[in-house]
Amino acid sequence: MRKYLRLTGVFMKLSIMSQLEYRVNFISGVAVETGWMLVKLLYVAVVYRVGVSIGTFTPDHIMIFIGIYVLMTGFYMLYYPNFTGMGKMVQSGELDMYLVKPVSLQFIVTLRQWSFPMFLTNMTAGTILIITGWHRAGLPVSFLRVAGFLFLLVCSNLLTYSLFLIPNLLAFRTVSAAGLDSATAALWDFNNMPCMIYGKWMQRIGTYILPVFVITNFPGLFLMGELSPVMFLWAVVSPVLAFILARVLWKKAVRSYSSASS
Amino acid sequence: MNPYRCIFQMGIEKSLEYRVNVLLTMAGSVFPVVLQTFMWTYLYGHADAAASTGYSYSQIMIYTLLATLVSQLVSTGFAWQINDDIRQGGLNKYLVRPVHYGGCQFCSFLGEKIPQFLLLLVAAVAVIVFSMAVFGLTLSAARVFLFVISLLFALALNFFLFYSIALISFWLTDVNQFFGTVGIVLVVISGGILPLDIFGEKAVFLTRLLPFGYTTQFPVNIINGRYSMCMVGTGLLCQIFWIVSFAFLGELLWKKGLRHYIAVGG
Amino acid sequence: MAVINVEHLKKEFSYYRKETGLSGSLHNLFHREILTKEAVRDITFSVEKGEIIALLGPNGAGKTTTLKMLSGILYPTSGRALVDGFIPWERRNEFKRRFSIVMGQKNQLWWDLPASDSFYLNKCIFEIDDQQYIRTVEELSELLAVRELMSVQVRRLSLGERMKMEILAALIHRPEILFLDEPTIGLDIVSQQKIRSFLKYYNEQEKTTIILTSHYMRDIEELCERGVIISQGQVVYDGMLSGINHLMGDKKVITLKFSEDISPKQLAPFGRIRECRCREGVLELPREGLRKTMADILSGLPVEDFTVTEVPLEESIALIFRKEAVS
Repeated sequence: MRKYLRLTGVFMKLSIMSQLEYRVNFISGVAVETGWMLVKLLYVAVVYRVGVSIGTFTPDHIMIFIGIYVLMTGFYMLYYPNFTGMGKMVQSGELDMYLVKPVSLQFIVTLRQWSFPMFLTNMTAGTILIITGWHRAGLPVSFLRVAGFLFLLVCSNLLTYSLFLIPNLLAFRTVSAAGLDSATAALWDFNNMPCMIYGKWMQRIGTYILPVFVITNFPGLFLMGELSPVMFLWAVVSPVLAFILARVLWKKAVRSYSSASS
Repeated sequence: MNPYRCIFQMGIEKSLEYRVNVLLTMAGSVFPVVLQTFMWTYLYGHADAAASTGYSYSQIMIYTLLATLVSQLVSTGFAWQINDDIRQGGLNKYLVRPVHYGGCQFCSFLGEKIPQFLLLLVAAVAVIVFSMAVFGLTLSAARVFLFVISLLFALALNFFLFYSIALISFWLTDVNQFFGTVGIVLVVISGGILPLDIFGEKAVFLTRLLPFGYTTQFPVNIINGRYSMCMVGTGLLCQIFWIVSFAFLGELLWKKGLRHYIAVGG
Repeated sequence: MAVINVEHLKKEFSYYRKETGLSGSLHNLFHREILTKEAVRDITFSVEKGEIIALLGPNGAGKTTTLKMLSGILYPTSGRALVDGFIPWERRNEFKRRFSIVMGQKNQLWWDLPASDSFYLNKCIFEIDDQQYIRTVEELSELLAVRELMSVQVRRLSLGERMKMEILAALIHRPEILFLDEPTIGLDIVSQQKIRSFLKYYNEQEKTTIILTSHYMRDIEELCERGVIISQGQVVYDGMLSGINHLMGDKKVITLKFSEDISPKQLAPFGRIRECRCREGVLELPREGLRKTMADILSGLPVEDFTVTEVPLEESIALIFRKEAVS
């Protein structure tokens, strides 16, 4: 475990150094992400314009949900290039070089490159949205709330990682991932609004079967004191289940790579 | 054969080559529409949204369904091509021939658009028929005709807009990411995601004044019946005004840029 | 004692046929004709500790696939292999610490950073203590003459310099076994020579066991005494490289220079003519009776100068391949 933490640190350092080699790209990366931010903020603007409440949630509460979505996007973007690069890695044979290293292959393949421009933009904007919403909605700031909220964010990150790794495993079968990428990205964007606006069935599917809604909605609900103990449990258990599933499928994919290619 | 016609045909072939890509991009844009459909339905169901946005429920739904289509239709991808031409010297092959570079780009652009246009037209007709059935949209032949006209104008306007932006490559290196940012921002301020005139008087004024809304928001608002015939008329005139302005700006930038290009040795 | 033992290794992989065009793609979507190909059919050999051996064979013979199986990258379809007491494809970490693989066409260095950063990463991955790491890098960079290049971004290095860095990165953990797949591919002659002499020196110093594949015969002739020749997934020769000539009929090549023009007719009685042009001729003669034949040539023809050489190794090997392909 110590070794992996240390390696993560080295990977991050090397990634930052690589990215600073191209300073213009770093800055324009922030610019592009800011452009996309505009799209996300448009929804915040609409909510305030219409002034609607979703159940007991005022626009301020909704802003917290959108803020969590933006923040989680930032975390996801941190290691996202590894996911999209997997296909190329398999094709170029770069994967072979990692197969012979005495470290977990999944670790080195999925958490090798860290992309900071997009992360910084999203994290800043997300944090501002959450804190503003929190303050405006007059929600209490207690240690338990904050700690629980941060804990659930950690769970959400694990869930994101596991859930979105799974479709990318198709890269091992040298399936072109371009279409896949836009489909999973679109799935992610459903969290731009709190899940309460969707129909009953869609909410159930998005919570229990393909738990994307859990990622951004549950930490928000907890913050507002609306997350039932059962749901809290699900927020903790679902990432573990998803991770186990991703791990099993990962091993299967690597196995088939090792036996099917030459 | 006329060189421009030839380039036009090559454009068609190029876009057919990447048909899978086209289909995938279109499929990817369906999801945001689903999200917005849910959102508006919820908002209109739980609050007097019509009062605050100025759009009726059916208008906003038709807008949501059509804006993505129109936005994709007018979208351009040649800025990168122009940047490459300028950076890697591909421009030279145009300079030594008796053709106009901007004209070539325009024909290629139109050629690439044709297959997509036909595809999107089918989708648009489906959306309109669906809207007539579900949202009680009524259409006159005149409105449909004006919609198509405004769409063609929007196509031309967006071309000249991006052509002018692309020519910035003459002066700036490493603009590829910059084009990405501009692309997203322009989609937003053209109303490609949401109509921008829902944000009050000032927004309405600005969308009418500035050229951007005329590429997406204006054509869609013709078909959903938000604009009166009189407003459609002035809108079309505005479109023409902006097309001419940007065509002029493009030509100016081209001439200045070319002088710069030759001066620094290409 | 053999450190690498390979027995009846076999590797099949399946693929499917795709007809050209869109209709072919659509057809493939529903019905795929699965075909099997044997990349490695039956390979058996063993390597002693400290030995350098060459794996030879034409493209597609199964050399790289064999190396990949010995590194544990690929699972074999059947057969056994034991590398330093480990079954490679179990991918045990203790095993991974004992060997290294360098593939000439793949790189593990971070492109935009100086190579030293990638070395440091390998240090962390292989958990090497600071002292040993510093010593290794200093020593190897000295030997490979890349000291001044340590702080240059990899993308700015020449191909030869980059290859040296790749080799250095692969040796950071002082592996006991080294697999080299085309380490000199695409390099100029000087760089090839440098890498060769480094490998030779390193092998002598560290007693590292090395398996090498290369297209350049010079690499192989200089580094290896023993070669395993693979053709169509099977071992067709395993033994001393010097023995190959013997196997192929034991011939010598005689290059002759004459004081006047000579015709092929005049040369024909002495042996097989390889070349005959104006005042130059190249003959292939059996080793047996060489003295007598030479004496006949020297007395019968206006010879000005001559040299006697072995049949080039690549020719003998090419002959083996051709024989295999025919049979």
